[in-house]
Order: sequence, then C-alpha cells, then structure tokens
Amino acid sequence: MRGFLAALSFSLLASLALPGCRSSNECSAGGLCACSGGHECYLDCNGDGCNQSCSSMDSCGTVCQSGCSSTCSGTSECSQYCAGNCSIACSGTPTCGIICGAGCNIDCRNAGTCGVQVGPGSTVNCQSVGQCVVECSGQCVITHGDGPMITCVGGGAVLDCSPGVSACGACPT
Amino acid sequence: MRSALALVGFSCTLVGLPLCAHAQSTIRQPGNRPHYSFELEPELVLGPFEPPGAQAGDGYGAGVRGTIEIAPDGFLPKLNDSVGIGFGFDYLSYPSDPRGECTQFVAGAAGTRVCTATSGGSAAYLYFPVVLQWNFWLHRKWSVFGEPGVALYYHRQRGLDFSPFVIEAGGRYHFSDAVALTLRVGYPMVSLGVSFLL
Repeated sequence: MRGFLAALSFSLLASLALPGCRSSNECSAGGLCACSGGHECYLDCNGDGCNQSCSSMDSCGTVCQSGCSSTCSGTSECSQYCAGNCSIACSGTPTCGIICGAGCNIDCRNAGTCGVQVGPGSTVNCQSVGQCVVECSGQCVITHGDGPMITCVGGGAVLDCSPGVSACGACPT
Repeated sequence: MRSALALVGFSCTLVGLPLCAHAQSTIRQPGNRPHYSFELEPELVLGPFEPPGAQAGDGYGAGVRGTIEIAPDGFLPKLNDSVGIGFGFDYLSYPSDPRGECTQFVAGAAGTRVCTATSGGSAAYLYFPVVLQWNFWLHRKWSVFGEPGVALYYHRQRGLDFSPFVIEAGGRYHFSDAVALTLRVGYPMVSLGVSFLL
C-alpha cells in the first residue's frame, strides 16, 4: 500500500510539473496566435476569425480563410493571405506581399515595397511606402501617398477621387 | 520551529520521502542497489516545450529507451553512483500546431510572394536520442539520474536533422529490484515509463 501511494504521488508530481511550460498559441476563432523572433514561421487559422501576429522574424506569414485580423511588423519579408473579410496591417518591413479577397481592409505603411491584390469592396491604405502596387478586382478604394501603381483588374480606369484617394469602379461617397 | 518542521514535512511529501528517510539512505553505500546490465524502458511521452523548427503547441506520443551500464561503480568512489549509455526512439505528434512552414507560394503584386498554404495543423517528430546516463542510488526504493546527450530527429518538412543539445533529468521509484516507475523531464519532452532492469 505504501508503495502504491508513493508511486501515485510520483505520478501526480509528474502531472503537476507539466502545465507550467504550455504554449499560449491558440489559432482558432478569437484566439491570438503569434510568431516572434527566429528565421521563418507561417501561421494558419483553424477556422475563421483568428488574431494573427508576425514580428521580428526573417520571413513570416499568415493564412486565413475569413474574418481574421493579421499584423506583420519588423520582419524582412511579410506574407499575408486571406480569402476574404480580413483586416490586414503590414508595417516596418522591406517587403509586404498581401492577397485578400472581397471585403478586406488593408493598411500598409513604412515599408519598402507593398504589393497588394484585393477583391471587391476592399479598402487599401498605402502610406510612407517606397513602392505601392495595388491590383484591385471590382470596386475598391485606395488611399495613398505619392506615386502608387494601381491596376483595376478587368480593364477599368483608375479614378482619381481626391488628392491621395483613388478608386476602381466608383469613388466613395 | 514548528514552521520549519512543517516545511520539512511538506518537502518530504513533494519528493516522495526518499531524501528524508536518511536512515535508509544508500547514497553513501556504493554497490547497494539493484544489479543489472541493461535497462529497458517503454514510455509515454509528452511534448510541453516547443520542438526544433517552426512547430509549436503540445505534443504526445510514445517511445522506448534502452540503457547499457558501462561503469557500475560510477565516477565517484564514495557515492553509490553508476553510469550508462542510453539510446532510444520516441514518436511525438503535435496535432493542434498552428505554426508551420509555407507549403505553397503564389506570385503577388510588385514581385512579392505570398504564402497561401502552410504545414500548420499537425506535425510529427521522431527522436533518436543518445545520452550519458549518470545514476545516483539514493535509497532502495528511489534513484535519480541526469542525461546529457545529443539527438537525431526526423520531421516531415525538415527531414533528418541533428540536435546537439539534449539534457534530461529523472527519477525512479523501484517497485522491486527489477521493475521501476521512471519519470524523465528534459528538452523537448517529458516521459513516464516503466523500467525493467535486466
């Protein structure tokens, strides 16, 4: 009996030793998942609506199907992909590559190159970017500094709505 | 004094009594221990620490360790210690790992590349550790050990890789001279197994 109790306490001690070093990453709806520090990391979302973050890495990226919030900063190469309805921010990095479907809000600033492909109903904000290239399918609005390269996919004209604001399809009212 | 005694009692409970049962200690009695030449240890393993590479999350699996005794009298002549060479095989699965490597890039605007699919979601590791096991036989029922070493590991994306840093520490509760319950804590895994001292 004493031996059994000793073995039981030994096992209990083992189980108590485990939770202290658990990862806090929860890449699911509403959860915060992050990559920070290191060479390369790509975050996926198990479902929709993740809060994804990349920082201080050589290469980092986020992948989401819908409804995610993605930020990338202080990374040599940022990659951010969302099928639609995401909020994406990229800053303080040499290269931001962003593909997002319909209904996206993109904020790209303090970057060397910002390459953005978005779907209809999206907004893109390009500020303090060396090269801002936006390819828009459908109707979208681009707020920008000097010299953006905007393409309305499908052949439509780029509309100059006001200083620093361009659009594909129609200007915002 | 009472609080000191209470603290000692609590400490005894935590470590399972062996260190406090001073009268039964065998640490200064070289050779007073189970005699064996090979330790076989099937084990369950948990991976609460982030493994090598970009993976994260918690893993679990199973494995087996084997240790060949190479120095029955150990390094310290006045202590009841012994030394062995340990090797093993451990499988660890990380089923809910959100982080991984990019498995598909597409061309984005302005010559950028954008990742559209990752290896995140699951990952499996195979470890092949080789360690130096230094045992200290504290009591007829208890022993502890440290295991510095190296490991080869296999990961689906990274292939076969080498980890120059393996450090483990553990303890055994001896049911008999031939069978013990063994807990091992180290990087990147924690294990609980049954040791057969053959």
